[in-house]
Amino acid sequence: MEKALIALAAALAVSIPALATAYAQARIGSAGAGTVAEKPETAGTMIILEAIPETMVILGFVVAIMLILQFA
Amino acid sequence: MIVEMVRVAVWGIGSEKDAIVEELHELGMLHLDIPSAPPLSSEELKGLRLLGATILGMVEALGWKEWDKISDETLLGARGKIRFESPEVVDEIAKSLEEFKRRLHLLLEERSSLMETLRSLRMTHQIAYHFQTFLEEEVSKGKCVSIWRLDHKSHARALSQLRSRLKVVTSPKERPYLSHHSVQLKDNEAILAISVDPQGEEIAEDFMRLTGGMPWHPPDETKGEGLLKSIEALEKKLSWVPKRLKSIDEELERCREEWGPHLAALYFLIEEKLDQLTVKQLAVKENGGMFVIEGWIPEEVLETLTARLKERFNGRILIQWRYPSSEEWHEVPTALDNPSQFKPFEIFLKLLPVPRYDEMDPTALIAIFFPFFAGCMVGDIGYAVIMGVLGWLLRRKCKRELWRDIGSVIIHMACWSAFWGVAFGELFGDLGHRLIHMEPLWVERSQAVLPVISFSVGLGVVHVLLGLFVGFLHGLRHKDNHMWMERLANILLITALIIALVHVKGWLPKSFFTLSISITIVGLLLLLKVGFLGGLVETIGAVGNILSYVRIAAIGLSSAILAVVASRFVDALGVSFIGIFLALSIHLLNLILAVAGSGLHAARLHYVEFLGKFYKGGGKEYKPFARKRGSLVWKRR
Repeated sequence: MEKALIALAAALAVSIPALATAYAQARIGSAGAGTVAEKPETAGTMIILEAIPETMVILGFVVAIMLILQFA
Repeated sequence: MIVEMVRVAVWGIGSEKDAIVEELHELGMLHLDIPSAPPLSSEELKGLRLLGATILGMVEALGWKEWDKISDETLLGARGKIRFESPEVVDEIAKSLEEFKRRLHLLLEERSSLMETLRSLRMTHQIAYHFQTFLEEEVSKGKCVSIWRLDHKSHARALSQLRSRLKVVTSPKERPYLSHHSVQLKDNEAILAISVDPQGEEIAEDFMRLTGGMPWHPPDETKGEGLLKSIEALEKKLSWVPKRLKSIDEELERCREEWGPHLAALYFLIEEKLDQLTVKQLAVKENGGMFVIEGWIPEEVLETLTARLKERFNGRILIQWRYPSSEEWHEVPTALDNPSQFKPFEIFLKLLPVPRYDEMDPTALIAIFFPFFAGCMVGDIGYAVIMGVLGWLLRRKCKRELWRDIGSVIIHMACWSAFWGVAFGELFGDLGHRLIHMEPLWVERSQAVLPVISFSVGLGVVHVLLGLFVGFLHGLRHKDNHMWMERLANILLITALIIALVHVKGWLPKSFFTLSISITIVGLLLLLKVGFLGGLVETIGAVGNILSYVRIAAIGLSSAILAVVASRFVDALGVSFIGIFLALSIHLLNLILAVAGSGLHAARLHYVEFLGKFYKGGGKEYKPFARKRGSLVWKRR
């Protein structure tokens, strides 16, 4: 039971930031597509901006790893 | 590094103005301060611009796109043949192009008209073919057939109403004869063929017109005696049009090959002449019989410029130069000059505003850290070899400078990937361990997660502190008290935090805790001096930035696990076609993710976490007054 709860906590630590990241990336992506259509030279900057919200899910992933390594 | 610039003023006598401007154009070293959107309106300029626009229009109409194949030799040859010395030359060229323009216009018009005809013929043929059997049957029965175009939704109701109208010409004991066949077109349109007795033909025609139907006929040139005869004419025409189109395309191709390069070279020459005229009118200051041209030039080529000008104009020219004063720094254009191994990394600055003349060029630091981070994320010898081959191919095969630079960056990434591959003992995941018992030099990252995470955070500490230190130096150099104090406070607070954390772990003696508190107090005092809240937010942001480097470990771990999963397919499915195919597919996916993901995230770490600490940008790019070169890069600009 305890292991199942740890696994659930680890899963939530990844999945909730993943949803938030997906939402943020969707918004940035649609705005970025509009910007690139107007100014193609901003394509590189838009790719970088698209990668910015991934910090959330990466930190969530690290928290999940910590949970599993510490308690499982 | 940013090239040192000097301000140069070239003085000459008015009669030699054209020759000196032309020589400076040829040398292509002097960056001139030309006001944007010049309000020029001389007849000569208008004529040249019109000719340039006409030529560009002809090149576009021809569909010629090989701008990158115009070599400098071709341009040199064209320059020798054509000199725009007077407006008459421009008129003469415009006249000589007139005949070609007319022929091209006729060809393109015929082509477009034939394309339209072909489309319409194909549609007509399709419709006629659809109704052919119906027509043949009805005509053989002696009925009258007509074809109508009408709204798809109303055609069922129209047929039922027509049937009741036809009762007028049918004997009461018989049912009115009405046979029909239809086909639906797009946009809710339908083509309806109706067959009635000869005596009902007029009623049917009037009724169909009343309900909004339009009689449908084949195109005029294929009209025969009835639709059935038209089908034969349609087929003949359908075989002729593509042949004619092919011969037009061949003629256009011939024109493209013969005229495209000449027109493009002419366009380059016109642009060059326009540049010279613009410079003469806007950048040259005249004073009596003298004139002066001022601009910026890299110090390293100053000697070449003065030697060339003195050689050609001897004592009839005066050249003055000086270093820019600190008040002028915002006006000085920025040119980058890095060693050949760092030069490809200048592409990272192309996504940012141009660095200011008084700023530090971060290219060398990016060249050191970017491949190191990206390599740490990939960390596989097998992938490193493939990346190296890919980078080498890009460098060798691509003509565009951008792709060659990307190739060099990938080669650097591949070298570090191989280094980390040895450290983590990875060759296509765990394949190296299975086949040749390869052991990690440091740790196996899929097993030892915490050491790799700690290492990546350590990298973050070093990188962010370096960025803050560069910002601190920049602030000191420019006497920007706010900047250097804030950066120093951040450095002190982060150092204090690290000492405290290490002390909590018990790795440092107790006295270090006191040191940590002292550093924190100094840091907080500095923050108070520059505005406490803003500085504190900056410090918290810097700590967040350090934690963001965890992505190096996280992405590396996911890449390592995916590579192991790929090999497991062979375990599960045996050395079979499907097992090997799936393993290779996963490896390919992992390789693409590794190259794209590691590059993207390493770039992001630089742009957001590192450069944000000191880089401002907002400078002017060094664009010397130079002749056009036959490159696509120029055309795109």
